[in-house]
Amino acid sequence: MPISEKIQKEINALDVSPDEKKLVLDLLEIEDGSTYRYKTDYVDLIKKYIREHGEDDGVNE
Amino acid sequence: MNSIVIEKIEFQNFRQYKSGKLSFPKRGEHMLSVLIAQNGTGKTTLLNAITWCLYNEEQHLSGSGEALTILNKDVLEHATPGRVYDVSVVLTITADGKTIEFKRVQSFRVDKDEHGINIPVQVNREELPEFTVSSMIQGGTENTVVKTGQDAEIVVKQYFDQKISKFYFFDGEKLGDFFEEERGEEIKTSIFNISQVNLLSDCIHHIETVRNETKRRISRDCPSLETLMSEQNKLKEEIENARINKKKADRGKRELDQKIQFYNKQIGKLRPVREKQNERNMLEDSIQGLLEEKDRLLVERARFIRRNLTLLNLYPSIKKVYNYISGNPDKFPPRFDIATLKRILKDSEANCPICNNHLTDESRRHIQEYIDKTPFSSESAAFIDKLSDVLADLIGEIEEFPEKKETLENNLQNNSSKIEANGNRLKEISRELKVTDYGEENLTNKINKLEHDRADAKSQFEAQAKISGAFENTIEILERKIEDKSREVEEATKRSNADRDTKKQLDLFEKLKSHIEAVKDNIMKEMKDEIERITWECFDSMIWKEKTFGDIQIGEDYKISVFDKENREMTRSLSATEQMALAYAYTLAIHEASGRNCPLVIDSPLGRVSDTNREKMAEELFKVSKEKQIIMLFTPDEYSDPVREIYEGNVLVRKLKLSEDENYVKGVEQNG
Repeated sequence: MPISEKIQKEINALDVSPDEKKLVLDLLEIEDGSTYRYKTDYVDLIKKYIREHGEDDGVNE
Repeated sequence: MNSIVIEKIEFQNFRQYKSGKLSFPKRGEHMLSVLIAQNGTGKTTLLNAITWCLYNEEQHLSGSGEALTILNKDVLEHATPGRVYDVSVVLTITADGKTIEFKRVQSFRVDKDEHGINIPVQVNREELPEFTVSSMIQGGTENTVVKTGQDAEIVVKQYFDQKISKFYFFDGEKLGDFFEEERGEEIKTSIFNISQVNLLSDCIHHIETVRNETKRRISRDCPSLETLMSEQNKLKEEIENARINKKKADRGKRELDQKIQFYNKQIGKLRPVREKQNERNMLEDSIQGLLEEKDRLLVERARFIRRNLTLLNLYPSIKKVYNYISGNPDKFPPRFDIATLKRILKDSEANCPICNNHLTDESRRHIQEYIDKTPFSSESAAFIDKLSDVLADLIGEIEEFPEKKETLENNLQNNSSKIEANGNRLKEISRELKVTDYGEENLTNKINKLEHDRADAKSQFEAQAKISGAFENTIEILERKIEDKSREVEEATKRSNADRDTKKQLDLFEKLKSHIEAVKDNIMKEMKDEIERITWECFDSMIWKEKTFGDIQIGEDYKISVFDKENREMTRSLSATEQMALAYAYTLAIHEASGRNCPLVIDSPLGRVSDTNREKMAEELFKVSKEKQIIMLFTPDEYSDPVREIYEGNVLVRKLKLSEDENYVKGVEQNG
């Protein structure tokens, strides 16, 4: 099932960067797709995000 | 919102529907179909056919139905022994631009029992009936997707989640189901599923799992972190146990509260019976007293009349004698005693016997003259004097006769009226008590027992409330401890030798978790508010007591509560009609909030609605059918003239009848 419009609306309303909003949505899509591979998929997604955002990722050092 | 519409239901050898189909085409602007059938003709079987097809469960079976096979009786009677017969129900819907067919088939081989009677034996008993879901894009047969097993179940869940199936396939006679305590939890689960709150929860849980695993990996090289994490896990286990125990205590509380309500209701019913019994006893005593008084009054009246009859006969003579005596005083002796006068004269010191003054010589001379002149005896004078008094009394008595008689008659009349009034009330009470009379002793014992059981339930409720409160405190304390421990774990993680990327991952996961938690909280609140608002709007439009109801609230556990304008809860005191309206309103709100415009199949839609309100509710459902498909299963009585006037001409109305041998329903269309 696609992520509902209500949830997408709530994610868009979050006070975070557009990239982080997309990350939340991507995570939910992984969850919606299949749950048994979630550990690897989650970590891969996060790693990719960190890689793409380098030092400017807003994550605490 | 796209509508989900039931296009048709096809039967093959299924119970009394035998083989045939019922289709539900749209007529005009309303998606409303009406089926009229006597009880026992197949109304509830239609609901069962749907739930059997979708869930392999006949949810609306009566006790007698459970014992019967789903293989049609007529088919079974005429079956060839050894042959296999399929029973199937196919439900075809349109939704999301697709035509979807849900099909369940169960096979039976027919054998003969020891009496030579055909009996059905399920083929492959250990296996579930075959279930398939086929979907195709509307307007074509290409690209038909057929799903079986779990995949088919997922499609069912998508359109008709079984957890809230009673909100799609609605039995108007079983309103109690809508307000069961456990139902709230089921609704909540289903709504969370439909609205993807469960997806958010799963995501949060999985983030937590990934984070913990990462931390565990780091802790292998950091003993202090390992200790902290183990302490944190222990606290989590403790809080989980406390939550389970609190839930258990809360369930116990709810069950006991239901018991207390049950006892209150029973006592409430029996107390007026006791009061009426007391009133009946008082009335019986009072009537007994009044009857005794009546006897006394009758005797008194008889005596009075007897006595006065004689006096009335004698009245002319009595009056005549009295008048003669009182009218001719000169013809009767004076009223003095001569012997006394002589005695006075002899005693020179004696005073006057009348005024007690001293008797002068002159007075004494007058007395002597009187004695000399008087030739009559003083006894006669006294007698006449007495006679005159008696006659006067008798005349007085006779003259009071009419007044006394009237008083006596009035007393008798009052007495009779009281006897009649008390007798009527006694009859009324006896009639009322006839249904619920337990006998005084039994009733008192029953009330005492109920009061005792209620007190028992109350004390158990208080004990459970204390336990629940204690666990709540424990949970609060543990939550604080876990929070502190989590901080310590986070600090230790930062201090650990883990690489920079791993630490970044942990932080990012934590941030994402908090974002998803915020989304989840908002969605949950929105859902609840939406259901609350729609339920109130629908209920308010169906209920015509404008000054009574003030608000509807949905609790955290999705339990529904109705309040009056003064904010007093009145959920438990709703009439059957109001309960029906509330059930409809809640159903429509859940449909709306689920984001799926599902059909509504209602058995006895107005069965519990009183005559005056029937028309109004029929009208409201008619309006709803513009937006949502409704299939109504009426009894002929329920489909009264005012209801007929609203529906006929605007909707498809069909009548179902049992065949003469009662083996199948007439009125269904033929397959093919």
